[in-house]
Amino acid sequence: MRTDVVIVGAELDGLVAALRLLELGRSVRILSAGRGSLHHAPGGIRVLGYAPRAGGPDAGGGILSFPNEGVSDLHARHPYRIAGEMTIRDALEWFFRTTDELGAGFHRTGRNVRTLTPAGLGVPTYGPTLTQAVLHAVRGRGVAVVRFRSHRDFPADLVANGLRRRGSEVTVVGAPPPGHGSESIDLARGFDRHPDPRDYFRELESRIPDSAELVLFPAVLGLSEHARIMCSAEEALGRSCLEVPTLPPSVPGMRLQRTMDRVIAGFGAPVHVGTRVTGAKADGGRATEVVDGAGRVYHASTYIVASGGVAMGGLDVDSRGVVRETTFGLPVRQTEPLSAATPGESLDALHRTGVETDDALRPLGSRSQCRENVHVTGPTLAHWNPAQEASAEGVAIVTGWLAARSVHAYLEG
Amino acid sequence: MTVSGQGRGPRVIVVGGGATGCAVARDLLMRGFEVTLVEFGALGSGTSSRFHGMLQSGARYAVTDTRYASQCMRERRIVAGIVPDAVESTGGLFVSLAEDPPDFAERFVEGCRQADIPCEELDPGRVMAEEPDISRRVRRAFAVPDATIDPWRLVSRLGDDVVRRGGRVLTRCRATGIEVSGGVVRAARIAGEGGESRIEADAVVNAAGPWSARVAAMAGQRVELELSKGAIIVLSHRFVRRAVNRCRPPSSHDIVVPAGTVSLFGTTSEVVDSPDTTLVTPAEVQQLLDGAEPLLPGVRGRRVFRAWAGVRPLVKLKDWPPGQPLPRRHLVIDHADGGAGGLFTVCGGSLTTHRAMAEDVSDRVCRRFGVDESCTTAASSLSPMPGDASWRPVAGHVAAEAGQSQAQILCECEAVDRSAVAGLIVEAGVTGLHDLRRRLRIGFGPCQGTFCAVRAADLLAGADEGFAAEASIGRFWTERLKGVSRTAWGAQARQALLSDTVHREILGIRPREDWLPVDERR
Repeated sequence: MRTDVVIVGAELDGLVAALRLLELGRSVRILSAGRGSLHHAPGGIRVLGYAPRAGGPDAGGGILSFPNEGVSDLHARHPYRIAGEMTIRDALEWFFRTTDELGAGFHRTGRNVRTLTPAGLGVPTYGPTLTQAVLHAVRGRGVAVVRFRSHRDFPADLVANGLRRRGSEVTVVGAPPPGHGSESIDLARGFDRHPDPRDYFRELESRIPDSAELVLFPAVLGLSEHARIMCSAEEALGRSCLEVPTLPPSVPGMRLQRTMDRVIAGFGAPVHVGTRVTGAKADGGRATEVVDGAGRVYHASTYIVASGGVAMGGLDVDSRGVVRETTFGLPVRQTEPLSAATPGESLDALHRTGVETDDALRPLGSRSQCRENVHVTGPTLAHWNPAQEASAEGVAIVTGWLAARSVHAYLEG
Repeated sequence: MTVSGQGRGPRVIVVGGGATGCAVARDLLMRGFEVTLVEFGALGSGTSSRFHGMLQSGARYAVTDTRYASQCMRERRIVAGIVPDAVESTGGLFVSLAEDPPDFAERFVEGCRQADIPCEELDPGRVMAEEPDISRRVRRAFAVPDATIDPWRLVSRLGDDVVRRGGRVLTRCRATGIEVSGGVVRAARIAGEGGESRIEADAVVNAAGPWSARVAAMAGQRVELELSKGAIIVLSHRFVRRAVNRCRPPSSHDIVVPAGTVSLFGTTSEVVDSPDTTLVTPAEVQQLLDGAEPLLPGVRGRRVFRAWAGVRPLVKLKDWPPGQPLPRRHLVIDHADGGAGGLFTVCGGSLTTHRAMAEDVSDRVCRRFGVDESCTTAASSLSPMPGDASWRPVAGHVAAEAGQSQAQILCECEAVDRSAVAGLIVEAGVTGLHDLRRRLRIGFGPCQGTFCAVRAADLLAGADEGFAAEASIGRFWTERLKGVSRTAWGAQARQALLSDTVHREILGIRPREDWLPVDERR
């Protein structure tokens, strides 16, 4: 079972690397233990929302108007500093163009906007989804917030509470689930399968107060049929309809993942989900194979470690605080998560611990037996903190894209 | 000051709203006093909730302090009788491992006999079969009637009873001064959110646990305590059936206790200067794990939800042999001898003996005022329904699995029904997430409130348009994170990051240093 590239992990960074390599004509195989952090993502593309920290890890910087304003203040080995501004721009440009072409596009406002959260607050997002509620579009207007009955992962009253503080007139409107079940994914599938969603929304229309100029839904309006459901809603309700993220699992994250999966499958590239890599071999500075839990061996010329860091098991912390890279045992830049002085520093260390790399995302460190043909992306990289920076998707896209470029160059020889 | 509903008895201010202070307030109200209870944080937020959750049979102290051990046995029976819905009779085990002193077991059996604690020797093979997660090197094993207690439920039952009897309960209020003139207590100054006020009193009972010395000093009095910090880790799953102790002289890291859906392991024992020292250090967590390994061989591979610490107020008895660990028995001090008539301090003791502590100090208060009422707290039920079934910590899970409440589960970890939360908000007027946690145990499980706190906050926001969502959820998360960050390895490291994603990235809440809960910033 040999391919040009084996990618360990099917999160956004791994999917971006896979898609880019396939476009460049490479053969790719993805091995993934689970389905990764897109299910925890609010949906939009966050690139760099907050100015790098000043005054300790708990003290967040202010919101950046433009992500590139903050890059030079990041750690010298932050993935964005490794990539550099040209690569960041090229990678994001490629991503937005590609997703546009796939019909899963994002708003490209060219700057950070504040998207509405389920706590009724705003977070900086560079590319909101086309249906994502943005604070400045909602504030001060008449708003209806829809709560599906028994849907516990959408705190409609918190949304209403936050919007009222911003001068909006808000009504929370109860609605029946469109199909069976009332978890976020059940609701999304209920809309997908609904024989005529317009009927559903026409019935809902009578409950929306006249004062409501727009209607906010939890982000569950369809998984595969999202665009059609949105159109039905706006047509039947006669108002603009927008979505607000839910607690995880996140339907907008799943939509992006499905789009990427579909196009990767279209290239015929195998994606093995539920396949945990448990061992690897290296020889003479090169990785030669990886092995999964069932003992299957996968050979490739190059490997990309897109394994999701501590959060997804790509890095493992033991009870003494020692951090291990779980695929190749790469050297880890340890930031002592268990002996930090404060809880905030401890969390920060869990984010920032990871593998340090050269400019081509190959691991640094004298112990590394596979420096030559292994590349590392996303949360398994050291020196960044997605929660503090509001940068999760941006770093995934940029490092996935850069790893693909590096691998391609390596294979060209 | 007159408070409607109270009699015209002498006015007493009780400082400290832990189990002991609440029990003192209750006892004095039952004997006709007018009572104001003052607590800095929430009821029970100090040492009362910062221990391993055992209602002791006393067996642990049968060798070192037989008098205290027999008092524990008496009180264990009484507490289980008056507040059965907070007590689970798990039973306790004392196991001698290969390395434990073999002669101690004989002294243990004799000590239990002297203290009137039922003690039955069990076959070690049977014990190891029943408790598959403990050491395979058990040489002898003894069963004793230890139990566990939900301290939040105990304290809330006591607090409710104080209010029902007409007592005044001032939480989030700090005693800042005690006025003494002519050798007699006259008033106390109390600072709360609304500023400082002066409350006249005929007596003050200092039941402030490890803070007792500070309170006594307000009246120029000395209380000699040794403050001993004890750290505890919370392990995933209820993997022991009974509270398991090492059968050796009571020491550090030698006890594992089933509590609700989890197990607690403790404790460390370190003399500290400040009663506010509740942040567990990384070294203490390693000490606990190292200490746990002989009893629980797989402990380093287990998921640990969080760590916490409490400060024990131990009495320095003058006649206690030097070098011996200080005893747990309590002491009542009448400060009339020191020139502050009407000020009483009750200190030492333990949660198991809180009621007896209250009885003893209340007797002294009665004597001062010539009140001839005897204590009746031992026979007066605290549970809402007399004869209520004992605490069944997994009852919610059983109901959920039976499909009785599935769609409405708000907290999966502790199987808390949405209607229970809504009921407390609407009927009991609960307005804060921490109060919901203490009453319903939301946020105690693996996710440490990542999901349920948001769902509960949604209900609070629905009941109150002015609900401060960001600060409430943020404070709750900050408080939980304080304990989680110390045990963030393996699956709990992943959980800590998921919780971070939910709070910062999805909800947009950014942590603030002043969000540590009030009871963490004394």
